[in-house]
Formats: sequence, C-alpha cells, structure tokens
Amino acid sequence: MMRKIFLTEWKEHAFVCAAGLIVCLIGVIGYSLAGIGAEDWYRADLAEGVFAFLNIASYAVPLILLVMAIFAFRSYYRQAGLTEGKIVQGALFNLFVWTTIFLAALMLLATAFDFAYFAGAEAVRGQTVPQCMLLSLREHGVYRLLFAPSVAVTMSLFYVMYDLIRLSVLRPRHVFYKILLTVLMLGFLFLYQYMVYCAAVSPGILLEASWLVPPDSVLPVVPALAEVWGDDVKNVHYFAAPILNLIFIAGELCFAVLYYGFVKVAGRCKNEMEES
Amino acid sequence: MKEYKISGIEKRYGKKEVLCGADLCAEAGSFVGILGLNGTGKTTLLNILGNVDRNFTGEISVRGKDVAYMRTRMAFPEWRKVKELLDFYGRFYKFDRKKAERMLENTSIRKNARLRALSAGMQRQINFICNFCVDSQVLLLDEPLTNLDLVFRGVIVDSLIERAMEERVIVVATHEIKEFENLFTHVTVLKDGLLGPLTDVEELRGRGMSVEEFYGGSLQ
Repeated sequence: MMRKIFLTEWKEHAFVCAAGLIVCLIGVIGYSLAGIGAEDWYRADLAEGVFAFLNIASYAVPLILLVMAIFAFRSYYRQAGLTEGKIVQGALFNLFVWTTIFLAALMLLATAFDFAYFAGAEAVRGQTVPQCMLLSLREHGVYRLLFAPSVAVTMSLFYVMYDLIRLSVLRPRHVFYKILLTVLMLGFLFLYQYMVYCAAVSPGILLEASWLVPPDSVLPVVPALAEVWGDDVKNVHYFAAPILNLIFIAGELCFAVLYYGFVKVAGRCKNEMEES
Repeated sequence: MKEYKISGIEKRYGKKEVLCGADLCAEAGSFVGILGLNGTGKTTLLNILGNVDRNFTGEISVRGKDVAYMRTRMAFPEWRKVKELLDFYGRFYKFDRKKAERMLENTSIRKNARLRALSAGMQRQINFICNFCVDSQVLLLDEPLTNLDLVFRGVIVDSLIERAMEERVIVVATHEIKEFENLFTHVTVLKDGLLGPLTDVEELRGRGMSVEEFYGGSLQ
C-alpha cells in the first residue's frame, strides 16, 4: 500500500525537490558569476554565502516535505478503503524517501560547487570558514552522505510526534480531556526525545560500559572509520539524528513501540475499517 | 454479496441530528433511489456509505474499495491530470481501465487534460466514468445528472441500464426522478433523518402510481 501511495503522490514531491534544487543551482551559479575576477577575500565571502544558502535549503525543503506529509490525509484514500494507519504509513514513507533524495542531491551539488569554485584557487578555499561547508563531501568525506537518511529520520520522528499530538486532540470527547492529554503528550514527547538525545550524544555510565566507541561518532560499529572521520552529525545539523548510534536506535525503537501502543489503545478514528 | 444492509445510521453536526437511525436492506441487483428534499441528509448518508465520513454510529455491511462512490464533487486534487485519476483508480480499485478509456473516447475529455481545466460538466463525466468502471459490489451516485448535457445524461442512463443487469446494488440520491423512473427497482424517502421503508417500484406500478406521485405523497 505504501508503494501505491508513493506512486500516487510522487509528482508533487519530485516537483518540490526539483524546485528546491533548481533554486539552489541558480543561487550557486549567480554567486559563482559574481566572483569572477574578484579578489580572494571577496570570493571567499561569496563562497560562504553559497554554502549558507545551501544549508538553509537543507532545513527548508525537508520542512516543506513535512508539511506536505501532514496534509496527506486525503479523503480519496479513505473512500478507496484505506485505513488511517495505512495513510500514515504512506505519508511517512514518502517523507523519508524524498527527504533522503533531496538531501543527497543537495550534498552532491554542494560538493560539485566546492570542487568547481575552488579549482586552482586553494588560497580562496583557505580563507573560507570550514564550518559553513556542512554539506560538502569534499570537506567531510563520503560518509557525510549519512546526513541524508539522518535528516529523513528526524523528519519522520517529527511526523510521528505530530500524529501523536493529532490523536491527543482528536480522540477524547471533552475539551478538558483534549487539552489535558495534549499537554501531557507534549511534555512526554519533549522529555523523551531530549533524554534519548542526551543519552545518545553525551558520555555517561551507560556508554562507557558499552562496546560503543566514544559518542562523538556517528559510526559506533566501525571504530576505525569513526576515528578517521571524527564526525558528529547532531552537532552540526540540527535536523540530523545520530542514526548509527545504538543508544539512539534503541531509544527510538522504544518510542516506536510506545507510539504503536498509544495508537492501539486510543484508536485512530470512529468506525475505522478493519485491515484487509 | 447477497444483500447490502445498513442499520441504525446516526449522524449529528454539533447539536443538530441529521440522521437518526437510517436503515436499509437491498438485495443484490437492486437499483435503489433515495429521494428527499434539499438538506434532509442524502449526501451525508452517501458520504457515510462511501466511507468519506466515519464519524457516525450504526452498521454498514459493505465499505471501502468494494463501494464505488460518485460524489457531487471529486475529492481528487484538481491540478492532477485525467490520466493520473485513471491510474489512481487502477491502483486502488478493481478497475476496468479499458472500458473507462473507451467511454472517455466518446467524450471530449483528453487524458492529458488537468482536472481543473475541465468544465463542471466534464468533471462530472470523468467522475461518473471512473466510478462506473469500478467492479464493486455497490455503486453510490449522488446527483449523477447535475451539470450534465442531454447527451451525457443519456450515456449515464444507458450505462446504468447495462449495469442494472448485474448482481450489484446501485444507490442513487437524486431529484431527477423522471430520468430514473424506469430504472428504479426500489425507492425510499429520506425525511426527518429517517429513511422510509424500501418500496418496490413494481408494486407501485401495479397500483397505478408513478415514483413521482409516490414521492409527492410521502412528503405530505
């Protein structure tokens, strides 16, 4: 069913991703042309501008895709006999796939810019602040591509949290219980996710006692690589989840179980059709 | 499916009770007309039967993809193309695409046209064609003749005659009684939130009464 929903909605998602990339490409070309014949310090400034622009796109487009997923509750799916659960699954799948595709493409664009703009101008690159080259594979290595699924995981988590809040608002009959459940849910979501994040990225008894490499790595199961790349996804991109951190994975799996349990107990809607 | 049964359908909009226990039991092969004045809840009832509205109480024997539902206005986004609508039906329903394409060829609708570029009447045409070509146990039609020209009205009535031979239940909510007079096997009147008893049209004819006369009498 996820495949069917994906095939039904691929065009609008592809359109948003393509439009985002085209805007980025226009920005990249515009800045590049503006730097022709300019002095090194000015060219370095322009390069920082381009990287900043791409970084903003890496936040903006996933958020647009998230909003699209939120509005994916379409009555024509219901009419065709899909349960709300199936519609949510389809929306999540779309969100994950298209966020990953967009981020991966954006990183390739950033990398291409990095190579092309600084070709034969290492001095200019030297004057560019490295922190802004967040998406460049040239700067961070091919493992930086982990950003793509990592941001997609965060977007999916946002969607699941939205779904929980939606159910908290919709399911109780009385307004008082709606408010109470929503406030409790918001508090729970904040505390839970904060706790998982802290456990995943901070050193502690649990981590020291485990076989994981130090928590500043996103590659806990490959210590050698982790040492080489010394990469902390979460610290440089606020939407990137530490997806290769086993504590994070375990925490979010628990979250998924809690989510599933809540949906089972609360129910999605009245007169839901039985799963066929 | 031997019979299509709904029982005790209740629906409220806030404090206003629109349906208060609608019941219906139609055998396979029935062509049921739901008659009623504006605002009596015909569309509300069909939305419930068509699984669009699930906020109700009561029971329905067949729902989901086994029910094709032609709404007064399509829920499919209007910026999409006719071809994509056919793809959607092909994906989610047991859909006779070849038949739908044949029917489309007899209209002026192009497959590459966007739905928003079609007139209201053409949108109704594609809406009917898609739902008519679904191999479903139940076909629900809400005001199927609204906005349609004489030619396509004829196409709809002829298509429904063809389909009336099949073992399906067709439910039509309409004000255009004359056009369906010869198709109805049963009629019922929705009044004050309640569906009246299902009346056999043959029996009415036997009493020398037309459906329109029966409807007029029911309203008094």
